[in-house]
Amino acid sequence: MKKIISIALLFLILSQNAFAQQSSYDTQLLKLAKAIKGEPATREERSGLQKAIANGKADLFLQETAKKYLQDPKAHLKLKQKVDELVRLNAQTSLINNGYTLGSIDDAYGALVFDVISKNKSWDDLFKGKEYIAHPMTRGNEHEGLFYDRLNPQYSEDSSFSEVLDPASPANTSNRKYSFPADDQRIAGIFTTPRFFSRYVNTALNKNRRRAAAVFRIALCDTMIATVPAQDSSSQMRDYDTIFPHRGVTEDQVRKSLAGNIHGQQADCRSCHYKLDPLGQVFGYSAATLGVEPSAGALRFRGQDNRAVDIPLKGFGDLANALTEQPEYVKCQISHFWRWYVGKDVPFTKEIESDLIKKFEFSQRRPLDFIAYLVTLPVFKEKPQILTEDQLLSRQVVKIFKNCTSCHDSQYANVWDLTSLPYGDNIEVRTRRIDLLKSVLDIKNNGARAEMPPKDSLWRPSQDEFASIVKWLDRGAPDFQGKAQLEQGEGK
Amino acid sequence: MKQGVLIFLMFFSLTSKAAFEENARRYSSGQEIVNSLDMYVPMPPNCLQIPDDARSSLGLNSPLSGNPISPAPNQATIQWLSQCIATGVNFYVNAGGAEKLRNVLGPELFAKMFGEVPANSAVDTMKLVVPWSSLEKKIREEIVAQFVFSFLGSNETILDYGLTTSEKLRAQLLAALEKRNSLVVLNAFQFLILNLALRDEFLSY
Repeated sequence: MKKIISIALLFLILSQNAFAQQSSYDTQLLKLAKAIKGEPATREERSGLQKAIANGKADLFLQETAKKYLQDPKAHLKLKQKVDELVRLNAQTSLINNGYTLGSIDDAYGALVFDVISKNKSWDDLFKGKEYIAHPMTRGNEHEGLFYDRLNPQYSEDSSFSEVLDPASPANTSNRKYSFPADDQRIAGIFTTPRFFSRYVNTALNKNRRRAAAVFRIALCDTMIATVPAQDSSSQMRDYDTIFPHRGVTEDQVRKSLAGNIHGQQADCRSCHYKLDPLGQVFGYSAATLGVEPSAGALRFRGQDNRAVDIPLKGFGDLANALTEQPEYVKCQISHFWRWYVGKDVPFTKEIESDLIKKFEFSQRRPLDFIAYLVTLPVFKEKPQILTEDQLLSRQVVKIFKNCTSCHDSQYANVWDLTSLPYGDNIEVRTRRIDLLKSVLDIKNNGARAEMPPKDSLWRPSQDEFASIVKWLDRGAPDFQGKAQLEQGEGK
Repeated sequence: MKQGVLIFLMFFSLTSKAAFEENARRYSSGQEIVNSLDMYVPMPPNCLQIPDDARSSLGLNSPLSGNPISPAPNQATIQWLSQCIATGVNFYVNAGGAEKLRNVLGPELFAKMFGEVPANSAVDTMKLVVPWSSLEKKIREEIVAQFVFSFLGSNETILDYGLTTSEKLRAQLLAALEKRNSLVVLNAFQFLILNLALRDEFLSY
């Protein structure tokens, strides 16, 4: 009898621990409502959940409720605000009674984003879209209609968003829908809207590099920091070619002409400019407004596994198509959704990434369908966790190591994923890798002769960051669960 | 006896005490906090529509950096929300105020206190200015319980956050209200909203 009781108690404790991570159904409903709509669940919804729990159908109720929330304009607005933040615009947040915000919808950018979200179109349409709703009349300082009129598009009157227009606007409150052919090289979704152009202003000196950098950051999560320039001479020459297109001159002549040019000499300048300049050329003829003619350029970057991407572009149309075909684009966009709906504090492992890539493609890149999947993940249902010191430390260190993976993911793929813990399935592999890490960082001498990051890298860990890495190693390099990968005290 | 104690002890949680520095919670944005409050308190127009100079203190991202100025609600957030709440509670006596108060108290308690009030109507002012202490103890307890349920969630949800328990919180709020002898019902509501709406359980998820 005593044995049975002991076993039963042991089972109860273990199962308590197993279920201790999952929050109650009430909390899951609250989290769904706040994550999707930005508001708590109503009293009626909570009562509905209690009835569902009594009938043993709580999980089904939550799934159905999540789908219902995703149809709510408040959910669309919340996602739209996330896109505003991603594009680094002032997110319009004012709420009026009918659930729409004025500022978000009364411009071509806002209308496009809201259209993609509310109709659950492919996420790619944010970048490939060829239709805009813009007001033909002057609104304040915006001349949205004029932005597109010069391109001689097809247009029709559109009243789909008329209910959200400012009642105080001019008598002619009808919007106009501008449609461009699918193969129009002058148009590419949000990148060719007045709002994007005015946010990322161009100058003669800047040569659309600011806009190009925004495209890289938004579509490919490339923030242009911590890059190491190409080390081999053939790659260097290709870099020169795209920064300074030479059109028919020889390689020697190019090298001679670059000798006096600081941008040609400085490796760290080259490491970003080889990407920015060819992409900036796509914006070439478009200063404050869109060019009547498309401008050619190229999409160049070093992708994962040191894959050299070098795609000639006839214009914006090719740019949007090329971007959305890259695996880096898919990884980037799903990482945005993860951050928005699950949380950046939740470890985003390679396994999770791989699973989400499949789901994103399976859902045909439709945002609402993808979100509906994300909120069914066990990590979404977890209780708010209070992290231990080791769990917190592992997350801090991984954040620092992301600066390393920005190079090692693309150019130098012979390094394991530093942001995925633990560093291997067995103690030998983990020990070997951590020893290598300690060696290249020169932990013993406080980083005095560190090989990494390289001397010409734009990024170096700060003193505090280095101290965090040392502390993490000293505590046995704990993983996200706080479990030491090595024995404690073997950090140095 | 020893066996009983052993069984009792084993039912305690096995999680250890931990740091609070970064507790894996996500805070609602400033606009979402205001919208959530608006479900229960009629928010004034200048609170519902966040003015430009309040964006940063309410956690909205700076377009320059893509990040909020403060990673969590700060003193400026609390001050701004407090003045919105202080103004908002007075709007229960305006049209539509009744519906929001019904959302907080629940239909039964609301009917008990204010009778049958049509939707989009105001709450009877006279019933809001009676002394808090004049209400029956049972009603006072029920009011506090409903406020906690509406703003923070059920007992299970509060437990999931791990910061306190519903029983403890309700007892603390009741005790605090008992000490404030001159409160009228409206002031008590304001006190409850202020204390609940500034808790992590309301501001985060």
